[in-house]
Amino acid sequence: MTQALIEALGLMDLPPAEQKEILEKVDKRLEDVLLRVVVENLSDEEVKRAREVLERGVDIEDEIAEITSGVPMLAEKMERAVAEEIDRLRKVLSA
Amino acid sequence: MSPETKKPKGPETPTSNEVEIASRLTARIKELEAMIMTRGLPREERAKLTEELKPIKAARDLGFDINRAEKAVMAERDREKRKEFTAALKLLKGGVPPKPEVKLPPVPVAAAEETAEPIETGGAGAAEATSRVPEPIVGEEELRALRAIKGLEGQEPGAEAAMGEVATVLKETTRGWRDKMRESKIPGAEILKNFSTKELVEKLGGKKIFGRSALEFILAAGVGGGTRSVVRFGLGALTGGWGYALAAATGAIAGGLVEGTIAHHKELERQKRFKDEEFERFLLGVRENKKKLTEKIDQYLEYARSKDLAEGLPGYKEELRNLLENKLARSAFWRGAAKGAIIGAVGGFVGAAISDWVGSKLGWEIPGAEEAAKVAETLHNNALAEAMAAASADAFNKTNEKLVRAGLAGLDAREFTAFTRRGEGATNLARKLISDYINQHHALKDPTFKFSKAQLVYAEDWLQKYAFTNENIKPRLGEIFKVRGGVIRSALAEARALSPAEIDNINKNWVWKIKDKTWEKIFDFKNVYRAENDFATGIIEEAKRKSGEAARKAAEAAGRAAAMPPPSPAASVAAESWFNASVIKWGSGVAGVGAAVGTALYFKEAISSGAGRAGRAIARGAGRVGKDAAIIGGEFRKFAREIRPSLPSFKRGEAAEPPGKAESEVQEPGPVVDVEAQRRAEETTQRKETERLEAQRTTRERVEHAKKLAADPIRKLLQEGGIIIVPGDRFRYEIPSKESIAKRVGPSISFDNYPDLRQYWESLTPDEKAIAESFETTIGQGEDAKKYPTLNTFAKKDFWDRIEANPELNKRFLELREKALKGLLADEYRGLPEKEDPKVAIDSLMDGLKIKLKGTGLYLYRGDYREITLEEETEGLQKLSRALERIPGEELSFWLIGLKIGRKGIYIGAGGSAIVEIDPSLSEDQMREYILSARQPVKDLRELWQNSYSAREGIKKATGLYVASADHEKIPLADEVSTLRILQDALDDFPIDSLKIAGKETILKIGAAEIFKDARDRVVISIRPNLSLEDIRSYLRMAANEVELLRAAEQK
Repeated sequence: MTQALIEALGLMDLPPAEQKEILEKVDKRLEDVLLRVVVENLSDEEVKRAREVLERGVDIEDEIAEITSGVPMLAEKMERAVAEEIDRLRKVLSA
Repeated sequence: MSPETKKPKGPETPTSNEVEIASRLTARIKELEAMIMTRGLPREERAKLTEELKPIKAARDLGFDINRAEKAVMAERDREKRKEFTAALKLLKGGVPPKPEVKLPPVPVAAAEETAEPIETGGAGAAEATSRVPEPIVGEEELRALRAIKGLEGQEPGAEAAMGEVATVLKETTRGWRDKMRESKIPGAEILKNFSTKELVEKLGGKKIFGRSALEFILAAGVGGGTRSVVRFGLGALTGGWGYALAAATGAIAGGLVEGTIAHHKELERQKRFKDEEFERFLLGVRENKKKLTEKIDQYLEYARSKDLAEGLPGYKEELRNLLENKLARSAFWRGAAKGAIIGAVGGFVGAAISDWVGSKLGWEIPGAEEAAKVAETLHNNALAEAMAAASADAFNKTNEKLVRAGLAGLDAREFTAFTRRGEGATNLARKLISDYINQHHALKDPTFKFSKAQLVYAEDWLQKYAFTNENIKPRLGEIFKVRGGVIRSALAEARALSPAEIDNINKNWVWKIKDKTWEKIFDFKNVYRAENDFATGIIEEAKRKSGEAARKAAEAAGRAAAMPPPSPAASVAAESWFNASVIKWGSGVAGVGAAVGTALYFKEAISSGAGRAGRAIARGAGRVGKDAAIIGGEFRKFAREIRPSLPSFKRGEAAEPPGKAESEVQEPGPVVDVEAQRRAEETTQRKETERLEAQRTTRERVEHAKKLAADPIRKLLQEGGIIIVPGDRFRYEIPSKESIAKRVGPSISFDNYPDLRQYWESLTPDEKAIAESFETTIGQGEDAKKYPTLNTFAKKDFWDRIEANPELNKRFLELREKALKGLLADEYRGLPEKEDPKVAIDSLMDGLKIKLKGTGLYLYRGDYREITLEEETEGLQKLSRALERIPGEELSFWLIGLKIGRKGIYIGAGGSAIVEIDPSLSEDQMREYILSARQPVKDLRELWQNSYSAREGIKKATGLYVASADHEKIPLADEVSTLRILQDALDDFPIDSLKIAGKETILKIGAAEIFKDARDRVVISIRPNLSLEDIRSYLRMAANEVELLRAAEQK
């Protein structure tokens, strides 16, 4: 994945240290985007359930997965959001 | 600075005119809302004001942005909504409309000020309605492809045609694979495991769909992300259970019809977080500054953060985001999801590179794939040839027999001829005719044509009298006589009918008079007297020719049947398992997207969107994909479980059979072998072998081995973390017991599998966990004994830091990570079935059934354990599984509902999805009938639910109050709908603000009569159903008093 991301962002010619620094930031940013997509697409009811799960602290992963599995085409939305973000990042880096 | 490089104004800076319009429209909204809320305002006036308010609020929702409004007008498919957007656009271009002449009654100043607040404070519901568009998402590339497809035919190909092409290509690509599995003597599961999917991808690459490369079409340029999942999740299944691929393709194509897809794309454009032109302005700024790449990234991140903040989430969602970030983002689950999404996105972005990426993933080293394929191919060819030969021979024989039989029957219509030689009379003519007639029957293999001397003498006499004497015909030398075969048959039939006495009489008086030489000649049926009487040769030749043709056709049919036979149940099971295994092979990266955070489309959304015909059509198609994704998502959540090949049964070593037997095979699966049990047995053998070798080591070897292990940094770390590694590289987990935690001192307890450990860990309170983490575990004995912090299930706090800080350790870790992960996961999940946990058994069954349901639009719910036992559910699911196999796919795909084992009933779930609950005691046939008969009630319920939804939305829009759905299990939908309608009327002239508390949300609900604050501190007004208009008005007044009290308490 890292290599694909390096190529997608046009970082092939950078020194490894610089690549790493940028990738770490990109990684963080993409995660942030993904979290926003998830949260944005949750209904009030799902937000409520998610909060309860997080407060309860049991089976968080499974429970959150179950809640978000009710969000239409979430994976596609996530993928789309990330694709757009990578596109912007690439444009910024090549600007 | 040149004009071209002139620094643009900030992306968020609107023009002064835009600001002025926005400001005036905002003021007008407040003004109108205040007027609408005025007590005593005539109903007509209120309606007029509400109408005026609509486009202004629409303009506000569009951020007072002309571009967005233009796009919204273009994209909106609902006529009414489009009209609203058009009016909004007009307002944005032309400013505020003139005030309507509305006569307002005198209003107290305080009330007017109070109502000046924006009404729709929640906004989440509305945002939800627009952000939840249940269609497949496509990019520009896909859209171009779609338009190209449209252009090829001059018109839209339609889902059916598109499906047809996709299906044809996929069928051709997988031709014979199932046959290999079915016909081969190698256990099917083994073949499936070893097949090279790379080969499949290569085959696919050579095919065309709508004139495009099939692989390219499916991967990127086809019809959206849904179809890409054909490759991501479905290729493995193409070998047998091709439902997955087709389901994905069906959903994507049906949902992605050109019109709908483009409309959806426009909708997405409208929702884009960063508008292109804003971002372009930002980019100009970045270009101008010529910074280092790292600085550019920082600049962008700052910009992105400001955008996120500016268009921030509502407070409660922001709060959830933070919580998720803290609690979930570091989990393996989330990492997998994120990785999957990023990989998918990168793949889509890079475009053609995705082909290579997927290809390389599919081409992962699969031991023995080539060899197994060759063996299978040979077996396949032999089996096919045999099958074709058998079919051909069968067809030939049957055709030949039929034609010869027809030829024999035709002899009676033929004219047999004979002529006399010197010294011959009518008897000789009759004898020649009878001889040739019998000769033809013998040539055509009629075994019944045998006669005695007496019978032949009688037949000759009968024929000569019938044909000649009775007719006074005296044969002349060389004269040719014609007699129909039927007449000769009659003569022979009369001879057969002779009684034994008559036969004796003929034998005594006539037979002996004929010389032996003459008899020899009479019984010589090999040659015909006249060549013209040889009809048999022609009949036989014709029969051969026609039989050959029939044989060729039969062989072709046999070949086709052998190449793509219907899947046997065992084959489907094996294919599903292989699919599961493939998901694992592809790893979290591929499965992550679908699995990740789940991607289901619930039917409730298709209903609740209410987006008109096109929207629903899109939703239906997308629903199938969504459901697939949901199932895949569910699978991924359990993907570790799937690492265990779930092969409950498979026919073993079955000899090749002709295609004619395929059907009976489907019906009677025959003896099976428990592959899972075999695998467990193999594991046990392996473990024992490891232990035996360990026992055989000399003391020195053991010491050396122990030293080596002790030096292993990962083992050391694991041990320090409380993970004990036992022979066979298995793990055991040590953790303080609850008693020890309570006493803050005491022994540990040991778990031999991760789920138990995790369950135990999660059963601890946060305080207990904190104490457990402070415990120390003693490793070693005597002087060597060392104390380490006790295991935290997610590893010690500095565990990962220590690994990452040490490059050598990190490298070693990466090498061992996969192995360790496999070990942990295997430990976690492989042990479960052995414990015969009924819940796990159900999970497994549910997983299997979910796979079957892929593409049908059906979602499977868990049974209610309070109502039925696990055993009942298991039995019910098994019957349901079989019942569903007998319901046509198109019948199922219409439904988009959920199935559940439990109380018998059909209802709408809380989310709006129709659920058909099936009594586990029903037979398989009854279940089938029940499901089919549920169609109409489901349809009716959906309509009711939709009415309920629109009523709620109507109230929400008119009042700004949030209207929650009622509990449909307790209140019939029809009652809810009618009560909502009355409520709507009651609220028309009700002072809405009296139900509100500033800064809080008010929720209206049909249910038990109660007014309270819920967990999120919102005011909930629950109204009993079936009240009259007056009763509801009274109740609302009472509610207003209650709210007043709450408001007063708030102010205090």
